[in-house]
Amino acid sequence: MLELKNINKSYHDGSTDIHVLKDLSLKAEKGTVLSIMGRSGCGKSTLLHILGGIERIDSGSYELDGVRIDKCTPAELTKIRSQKLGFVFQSYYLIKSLNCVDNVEVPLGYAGIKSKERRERAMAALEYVGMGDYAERSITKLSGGQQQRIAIARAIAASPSLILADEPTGNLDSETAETIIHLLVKLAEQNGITLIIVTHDDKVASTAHEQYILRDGMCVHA
Amino acid sequence: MYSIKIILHYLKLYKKQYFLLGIQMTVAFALIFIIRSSEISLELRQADAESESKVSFLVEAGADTDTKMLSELINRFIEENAEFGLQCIVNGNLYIVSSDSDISSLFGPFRLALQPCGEQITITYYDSMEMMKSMGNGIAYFTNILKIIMVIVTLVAAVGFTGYVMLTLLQREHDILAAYLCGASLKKLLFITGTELIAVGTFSLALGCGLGYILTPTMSSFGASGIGLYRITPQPEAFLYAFALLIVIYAIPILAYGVRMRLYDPLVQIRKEEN
Repeated sequence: MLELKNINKSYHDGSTDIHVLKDLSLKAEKGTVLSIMGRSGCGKSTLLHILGGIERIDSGSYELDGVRIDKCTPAELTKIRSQKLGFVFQSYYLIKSLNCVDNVEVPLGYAGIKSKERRERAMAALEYVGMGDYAERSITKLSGGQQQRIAIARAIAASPSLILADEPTGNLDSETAETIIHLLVKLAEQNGITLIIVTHDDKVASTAHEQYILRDGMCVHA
Repeated sequence: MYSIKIILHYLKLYKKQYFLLGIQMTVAFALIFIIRSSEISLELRQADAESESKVSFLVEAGADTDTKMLSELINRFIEENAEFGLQCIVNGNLYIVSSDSDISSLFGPFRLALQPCGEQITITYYDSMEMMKSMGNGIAYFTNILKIIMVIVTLVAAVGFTGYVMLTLLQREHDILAAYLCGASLKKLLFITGTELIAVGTFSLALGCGLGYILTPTMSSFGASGIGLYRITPQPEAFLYAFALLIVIYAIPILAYGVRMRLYDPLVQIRKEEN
């Protein structure tokens, strides 16, 4: 379970303080799909980075599966990223010099999983997203949709409890986007993973179980 | 173990850059090994010669020289200076007068004593130490030339290394972010790249010293060959100098890389890539 309580986040821009998130609270049960929409610069990405343990909050609390993320040390956050979190970004963030299966193995490798098990779990994740036949294929030879599938396989390979998707369909055509978003929702529901999607796209947002809009630094139900 | 897989992957991926870097460093290490081995060998040989420093007078008889008279004059001189323990060895037309004690002050009187033989003979003052020094000049001269080459190669290697480290960071900013999002700590990523660089450096050090070990004896050809005293041999101590050079070449780039990695901000990188 994920719970944000009254979190605040500000940035300093010269002499002005920009209060991006104001007393924001959010709760999500396992297997729930949440979408967060909002205009550009409203703090969607900041919220996602906080959820991913990349950015710190100024005040409030953030709990994931009973762990106070806001109290974690950088080393603990690194461990949490490798064991509990999966990221799916618009730009995929795949390592181009590695083939598909090696890319999926990356979080498993950094989590300390042994070679044989790593390969089995990576292959299972690839099969799940329908990319089993592309295991040894170079990333650079794949289409955008295929690359995003690999990114999704990598996100689920370490069996995370939370997947954070930032504009996951931003670089894809509408047909591929629909397939990808349904794949993400399906895997969240089937595996009891909390999925948070940050998007501009109403159609993508509508596939979520709960839809929020980020306005004036707070999350409100759409 | 996974880190090793990643290290090998990047070593293979950037093999051309690492190969060129490795060649530069190998040459630098081979040169320093040869230079130090030569210098140490020269010092050792000259120290040996100094401890056995010996002055001899060489008398070369001409074709028309009255060798009987020459022998008598030399023997008389030896008897008159018996306290010096002089000895004379005759080798064909060459008479070598030597002693275990210092006889340098006797050269003038010796020439005078042999004056009756006229200009048919050649008298030479032979100092083994001076001879060693002059024979070693060739090696010392060539060693100095090698030193200049080594400084240039080392500078190029150090600059190339620093440049390469910075280039690596630029090339890998995307990969570093991807790995970071997958749960790799920045410390681990620093360790991975650092290990790649150390692996290349260590391999070059081993190869360079091996090459230096093989090539060091060729330095003898720049000195007096054939007398056996000027053998230039590989010196184990030279390895320490090569190792020190490795540290010098590494110090700045590793420091620069460490500082750069400490300043690495995944958020800045995400924003850069997403825009």
